[in-house]
Amino acid sequence: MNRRTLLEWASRGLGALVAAVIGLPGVQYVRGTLQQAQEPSATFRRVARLRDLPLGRPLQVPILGELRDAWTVELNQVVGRVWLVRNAAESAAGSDAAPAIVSAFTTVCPHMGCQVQLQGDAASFICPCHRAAFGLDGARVEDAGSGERNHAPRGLDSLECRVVQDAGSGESWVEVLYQRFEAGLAQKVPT
Amino acid sequence: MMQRIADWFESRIGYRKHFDVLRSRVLPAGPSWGLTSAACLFWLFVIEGLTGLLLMATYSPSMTNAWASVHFIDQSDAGRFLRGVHHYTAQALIILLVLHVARVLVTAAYRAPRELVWATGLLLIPLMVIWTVTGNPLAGGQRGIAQIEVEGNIIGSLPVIGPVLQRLLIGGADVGNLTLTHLYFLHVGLLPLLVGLLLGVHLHQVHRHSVYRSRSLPTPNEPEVPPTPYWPYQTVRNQLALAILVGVIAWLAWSPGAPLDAPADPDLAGSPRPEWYFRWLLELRQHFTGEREFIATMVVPAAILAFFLLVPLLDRRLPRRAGTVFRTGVLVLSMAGWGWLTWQSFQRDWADPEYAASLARSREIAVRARQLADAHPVGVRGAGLLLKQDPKTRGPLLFARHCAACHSHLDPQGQGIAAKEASAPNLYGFGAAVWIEQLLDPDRIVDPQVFGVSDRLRNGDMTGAIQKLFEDAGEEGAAALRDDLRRVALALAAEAQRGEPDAQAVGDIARGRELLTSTLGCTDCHHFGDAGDLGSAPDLTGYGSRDWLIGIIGNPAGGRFYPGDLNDRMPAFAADPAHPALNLLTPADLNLLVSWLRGEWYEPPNSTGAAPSQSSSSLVRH
Repeated sequence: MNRRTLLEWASRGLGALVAAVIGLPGVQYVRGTLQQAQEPSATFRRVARLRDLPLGRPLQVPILGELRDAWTVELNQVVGRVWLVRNAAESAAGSDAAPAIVSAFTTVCPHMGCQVQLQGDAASFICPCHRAAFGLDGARVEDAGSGERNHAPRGLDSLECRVVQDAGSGESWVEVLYQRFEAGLAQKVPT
Repeated sequence: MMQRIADWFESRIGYRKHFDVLRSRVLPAGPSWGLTSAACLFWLFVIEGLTGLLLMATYSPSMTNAWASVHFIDQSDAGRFLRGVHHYTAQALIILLVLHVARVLVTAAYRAPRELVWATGLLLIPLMVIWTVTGNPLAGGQRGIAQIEVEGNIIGSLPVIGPVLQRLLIGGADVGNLTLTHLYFLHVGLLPLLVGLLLGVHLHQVHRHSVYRSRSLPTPNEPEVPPTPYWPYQTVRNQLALAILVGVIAWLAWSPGAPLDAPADPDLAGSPRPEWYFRWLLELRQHFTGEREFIATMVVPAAILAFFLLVPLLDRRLPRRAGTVFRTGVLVLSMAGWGWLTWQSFQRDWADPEYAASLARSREIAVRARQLADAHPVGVRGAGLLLKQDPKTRGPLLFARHCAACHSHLDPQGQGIAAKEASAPNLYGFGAAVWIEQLLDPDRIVDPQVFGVSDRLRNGDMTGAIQKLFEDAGEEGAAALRDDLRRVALALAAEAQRGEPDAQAVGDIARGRELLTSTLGCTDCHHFGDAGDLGSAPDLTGYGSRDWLIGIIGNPAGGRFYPGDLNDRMPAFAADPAHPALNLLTPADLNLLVSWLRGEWYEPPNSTGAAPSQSSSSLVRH
């Protein structure tokens, strides 16, 4: 190797070194944003009294919690919304003995993440963005009468939900484990 | 394949000839270390731009978000490093630009036809300085915000157009959200454009009238010896110099890191100083006061810049020898002048103990603000509240303002807040067993830090009662009495409810409570639990607790404390709970003061900071 070749490689090597000193932390910095995971909430939250839920007609309730936004945090903010559906098949006479069947769905459309709304007849959910329609059981409805194709890759995401009786007041409460899922996938993948 | 793609672009753009020009550059005088400054400057500009772009992805310019977003960047090692590189590269660019220009001055490389090379290079120095000046306040820190306030006023002191420019820069009368967005616009928008333009002209002119002539350009007086090619003989020198520079910058960025002051807060104002490159102006204005100040801050710098711009024209009129003397003289004089003024300015500060104290305090609260922000994310109302709601920071300020006319707060080493004219006990460690024991000892109660502080207390009933107890006990009973009083002190300290008492102390506390209401006769004057009456001495129930302290500070002449004439001169700081606006202390300030007196504030785990000894529940935050 002659002197010229050596100097050429030395120049390139030093240049690469400088680029690495600045570039690698740069890549790490950008990756930091990707690694910022949403902390999954591990607790069931009380969202509604059972007696406030009408039979067969979905009710939307807010999920309150700590809203973290990069460098700020705010307590007691709406961090999500949930549709609660009390099964109409439950005893119409309203016998309290029959176990209440309540299902909970996130309001986030699995297609592009818009807020799913209730159709006027309260018989199905519809997404205002691309007209994806879902039954009250959360399943996709192929033709909701709009004549458009349903773009949703999967049904509305159901959430874990239970009815508990408050030890003190004896009141029955609906509790939901709130979660968010990736939009656009056929499977339900927590974010 | 790659070749075909390259050819496709080459036939449409014709980029190769530009690279060939660079590749075929030659150095008639051979490679040199002096020439490395140009390449280093170029690459440092590139690094500054790239790190700036990355920081832009996270930074948020507003008074509520700026500090928090910068702290957020600092929370990741990579972000902290990049911000450090951005900070120190700016300083390096200023120094290197000056050296670069000095080299051109000494070698008279500005001579025709290179006047524009000189002018554009020279103008890059003030532009670079302005660029960093617009960057420093962006973090919303104490020093940066104070700097831009002063700089705004300096601009405002210009005759005629000053006030208009100042309003435009600040975005109104006061520094606020608009100031930061304006500075951000200047820092990432306008100034990069101006610097880029100037740099473009500079590089174009350098290339056109190059010291490194290209082989393709026919040059007069072609030397006999084939000149050294630029690549790689000069390049390797450039790269080595750059690597060393970047190494130093990276070390600075990693080890001390870029500074981050406490969030700007007028209550915590320090003694801000300009950056090192403005120190000479700070010193210069010592000699121009009042209305003439703008001569130092504006006229002198402008005149110096104008003089340097005209150097090529002046130099041309001088004979060869005189030219050398002139150039050397200008360089030496300007460097010596700058150095002397800068030195004088730093000297002034180093000789000033008050400035040293203020600087230490600024550093302390900067560390504190970062501790608090590390422990809890910032609220939506901004990082300013971190310190505003911190008992450790606000407590001493509130004490000094409201309490220190009469009370001291001095630790056993004599450190802390001394009363202006002490007439009431030192409140350091108030309510703790150690503090109470002083009152229950006939010798220590008359100490000037305790009840010996005023005639009224020294000759008061409490002093008398303690002395009487010891007189009655006699020499043989003194030891037993002291032991009893130690238990009383423990019992009273437990009333303050600062965490759980020691397991061994539980028995002593119970015994102390009995003694209080029985043989020792404390409840002859004091009320405690069910025993004794209010009205003649402060209530011992809940003594030193949060509620008790809020009560006595709020209204010392209230029934539980020193009703009527019993109160010495202590004002009621929150006499009217229904109308907080009428009170001397707001409920929030009163709470902060009480928390501080009780030693209740957040300390990070494993910190060696002044964690309050008497507190076991220091993890308190409001």
